[in-house]
Amino acid sequence: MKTALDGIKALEIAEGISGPYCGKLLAGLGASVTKIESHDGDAARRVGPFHGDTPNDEGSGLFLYLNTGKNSVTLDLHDEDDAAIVRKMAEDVDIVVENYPPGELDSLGLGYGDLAKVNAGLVGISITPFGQYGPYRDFAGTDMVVHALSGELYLAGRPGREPLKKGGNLSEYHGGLNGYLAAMNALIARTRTGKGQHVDVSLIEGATAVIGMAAMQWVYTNRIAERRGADGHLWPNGVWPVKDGYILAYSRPSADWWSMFVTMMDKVGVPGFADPKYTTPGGRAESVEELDGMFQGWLSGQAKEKVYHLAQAEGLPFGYLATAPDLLASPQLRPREFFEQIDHPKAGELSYPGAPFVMSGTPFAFERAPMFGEHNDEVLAQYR
Amino acid sequence: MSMLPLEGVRVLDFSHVWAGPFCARLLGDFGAEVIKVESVSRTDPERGPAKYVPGARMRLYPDGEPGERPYNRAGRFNAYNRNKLGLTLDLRSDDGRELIRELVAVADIVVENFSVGVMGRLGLDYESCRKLRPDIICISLPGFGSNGPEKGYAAYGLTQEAMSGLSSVTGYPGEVPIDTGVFYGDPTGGLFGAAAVSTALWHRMQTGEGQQIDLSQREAFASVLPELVFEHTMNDRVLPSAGNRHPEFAPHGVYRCSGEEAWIAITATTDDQFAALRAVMGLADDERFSTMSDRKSNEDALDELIRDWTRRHEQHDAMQLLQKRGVPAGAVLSNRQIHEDPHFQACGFFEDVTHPDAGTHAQIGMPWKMSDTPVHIRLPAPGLGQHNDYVLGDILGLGSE
Repeated sequence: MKTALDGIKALEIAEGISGPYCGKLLAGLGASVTKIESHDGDAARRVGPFHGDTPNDEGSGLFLYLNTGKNSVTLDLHDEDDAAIVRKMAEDVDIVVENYPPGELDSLGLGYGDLAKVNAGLVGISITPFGQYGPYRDFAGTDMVVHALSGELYLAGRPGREPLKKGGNLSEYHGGLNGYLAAMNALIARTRTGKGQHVDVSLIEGATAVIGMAAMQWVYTNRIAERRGADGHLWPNGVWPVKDGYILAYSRPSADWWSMFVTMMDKVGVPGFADPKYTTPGGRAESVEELDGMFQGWLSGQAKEKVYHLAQAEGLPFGYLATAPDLLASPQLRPREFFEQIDHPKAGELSYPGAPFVMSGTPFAFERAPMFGEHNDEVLAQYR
Repeated sequence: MSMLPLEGVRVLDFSHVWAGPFCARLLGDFGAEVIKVESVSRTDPERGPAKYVPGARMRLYPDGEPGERPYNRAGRFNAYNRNKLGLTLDLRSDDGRELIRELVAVADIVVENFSVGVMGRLGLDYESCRKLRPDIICISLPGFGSNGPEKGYAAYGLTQEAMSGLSSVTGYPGEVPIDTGVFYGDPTGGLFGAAAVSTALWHRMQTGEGQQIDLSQREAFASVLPELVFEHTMNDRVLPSAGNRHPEFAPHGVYRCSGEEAWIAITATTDDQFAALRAVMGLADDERFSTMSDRKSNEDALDELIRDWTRRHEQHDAMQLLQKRGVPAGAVLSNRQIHEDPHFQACGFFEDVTHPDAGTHAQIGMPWKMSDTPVHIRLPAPGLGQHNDYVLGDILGLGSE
């Protein structure tokens, strides 16, 4: 199969989420990625979910997802001989991805400067919570701590209550994705400059880039952005319970959306919204309790998928709060074959979220994650 | 001046609102010449109204003043469209369409996020573009993808948060999940879009082949939320909204500090970090907190002890005390505080940009520091039609007509 990164080789000296996610994208798009694990293994191997909540080195869902398509070799970077092997491996590759604390690989003779001495075309990607410079560079960071210092966490949640972290580990995935994007651009630059380069990717800056509007609010108007959700400024925006979960009602404050909503409700036999007193946002704001009663009265007997299709048929950008089973069964995701079935000798066959985008000429490659040190013999024989 | 990675690459950006413009902006950040094409009959909605009518909803303008040209002063537009040139055309007229075809013939990349089918009606779908420029790279970023039964469905940021699975795991514990104030879906789609285009460009440089990219914003976002999928496929469990708590680690929370609206995020993911936290906070040895599973089981009691300590400390002091001992802790910074923060300042993250109609303001910079081809903000967001003469005259060689 033809892939976009045919012939590109990468070395991954990384664990957890951010660096390995960058490596996963490289492997998915066709690069040959060798992951170096310490003798303890990537920390993600010890983080769940696990089948039956029973931890084992080859069973972490997080690790299985983040390391698709890579080779794994085990080396002790603190051992002189092993470090020499890493330097030799770096002579043969285009890209090195690492997410060690700033300065740590340099102290082992494995920093970008050391590796580039023997490979001038090398692209080095360092992905860390706070970047390689500045007063917080040596701080310990987790997804929530990064979101706190980025300005994102302050904005999320409800007024008067504690800031609320979003689910998942989004700053880490964005860090890996930013690393991948920078790696591609460094490769492209190399075709003209003939030189590799080092790229310092900061998770906190990546998270701040997400909240562009709040930052603009400060510099344009000197106003502190408050925590607020989408409801409260335009009825019926927000989350509503239905019989099998929740729907999200959402509309932009455009002229015709109310008539779309009235049409939808009329079609399902709830004509009361057509009352002219509700036509303006001001009129609706004065009648929130009545409107809530009418809408919730109907919603409580409905299924989320049904409400979603009814609203979208009128052009309303409603959704439902999809859970994992909803995603796996989605009539939209299934025909697009978003989920990939991947087998693994120890973890078995599972559904994995698939390609983030579909390229017509060079599809994603989906191979399972490696077992711990699985490629030691095959790969290390070339360098010992 | 050093070379930029995408110098010499030309992008036609037909996209609107956030995800698409962010994708094209990232390509501009890396040095591409990005031409934002707006139809005179339908400009980017983020520009807002042509004239501000007193009493209408006030958008985000510098100093709260719409000014004479509010469409050049709109905060959202100016944030998502820097490093671009501005072209206005009448896409409904034959002349306008002819000019666009001439531009496609000298472009490398076409970015769009119209509803599925619109580009076809404009004669700008991939097959048509390819006839004008055989190695063109076209990217579409619709909400749900370019095929499948829901391909035409509408989606904004909140819709994506819900449909990707994020909303179902976001909320205060035991309460109805909530929509949150920051939409992660759009910038995620934009980042993946720029990554896809950069990858396709690399491939084209090796093979001479262009291609078409279909990016479903819902799928792109779901692909960075694998945790909930595996919890279900492995253990048949649907993850609840856990608030600030972590499924495996405790403590993991946001705690009130001394002062107004002051909070700190604190996490301890190892025994060593917890020992350090205990030492900093002066907590007694307590068998309820001996192991991670003990701490997880007694999280309410542990959080109470931590709150007792944080509310007696200023948020930055608390952060420094904990971080000195290796405990992951971060002050929860507001939009004002990030601009005044010593770390952001030392890294030079915010860059001053002067916009002819909006003035000089600090803008969010680049999360990638490139050692050999550094990238910066070169251009403010374009005024409406600001670069018509350059695009039509210098690129297409037309006269002032």
